[in-house]
Amino acid sequence: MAVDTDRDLACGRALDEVWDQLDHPTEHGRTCAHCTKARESLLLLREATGLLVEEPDPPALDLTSKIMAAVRADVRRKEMFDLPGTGIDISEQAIARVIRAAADQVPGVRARRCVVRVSVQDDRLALSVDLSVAVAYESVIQDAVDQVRLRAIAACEQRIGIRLSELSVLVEDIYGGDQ
Amino acid sequence: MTTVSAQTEYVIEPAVVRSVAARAARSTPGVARLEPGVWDLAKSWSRSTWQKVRGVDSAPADGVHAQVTDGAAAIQLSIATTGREPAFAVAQAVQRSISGAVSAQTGLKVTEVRVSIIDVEPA
Repeated sequence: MAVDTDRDLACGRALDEVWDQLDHPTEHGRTCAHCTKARESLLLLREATGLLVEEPDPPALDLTSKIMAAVRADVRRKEMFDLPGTGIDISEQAIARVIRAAADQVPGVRARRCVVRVSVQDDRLALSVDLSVAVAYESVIQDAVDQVRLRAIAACEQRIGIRLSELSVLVEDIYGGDQ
Repeated sequence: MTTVSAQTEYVIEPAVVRSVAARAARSTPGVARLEPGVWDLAKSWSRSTWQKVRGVDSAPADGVHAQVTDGAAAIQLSIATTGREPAFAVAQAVQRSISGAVSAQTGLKVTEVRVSIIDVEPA
């Protein structure tokens, strides 16, 4: 079963060796930091996949959605804003989602890209946001933008709890009809 | 007559802190759910397999991390909020309820609770 592969680890052992000795590591395997680390990961993987295999069919919807949620959370975790001095940080996606939803509530407005920055102004946290939207063909753009501004300010206050200090709206497109 | 004197020591594992913190966070108003990452998920699966083997079933900790050093605990977790209350205020409430629950249940001093707001649900 032993396939001679490359020396994967810094200590010169192959990953396959670690795998083969997963349950009965050699003296080296027990003491070497590289092997120990690799063994931990492999054990984790073996157990996680083992659990998936044992899962009764059909593949639990719950399981799939848990995995998807975890993947999504990891993606969002990549772009976090620290809220200084609070021990709290918030993902850009969470803020953008709130603002886009607020803009979408305005009749004849469809939110598109949303870029967020967080700053501290007079010891208070503040958001500045660039939002691009498309408006319906028949819209009065000035009114639509005013509505977006009002709703975005209210949404930040009520759903995030951080003041929206700056919002620039880029009207980048017009869509026709309301379908 | 003999005197029995037993010195009892106990050590609190980070897993205990994680479970207590997760429970406190989940029951804080405004929290929609905890947000474990892929790595956390894999870890909790492997843990529950292990516990199946040993016949115990422990409280889930859904991606809560805890470090315990010299009687003090530092905790980190990720949440999604319901959007019905300000996420920032919810995160602060989570910090308070975790500090309270962990120090009450474990006797550890809580030095830090870091909360990451991953998502705010549509109201």
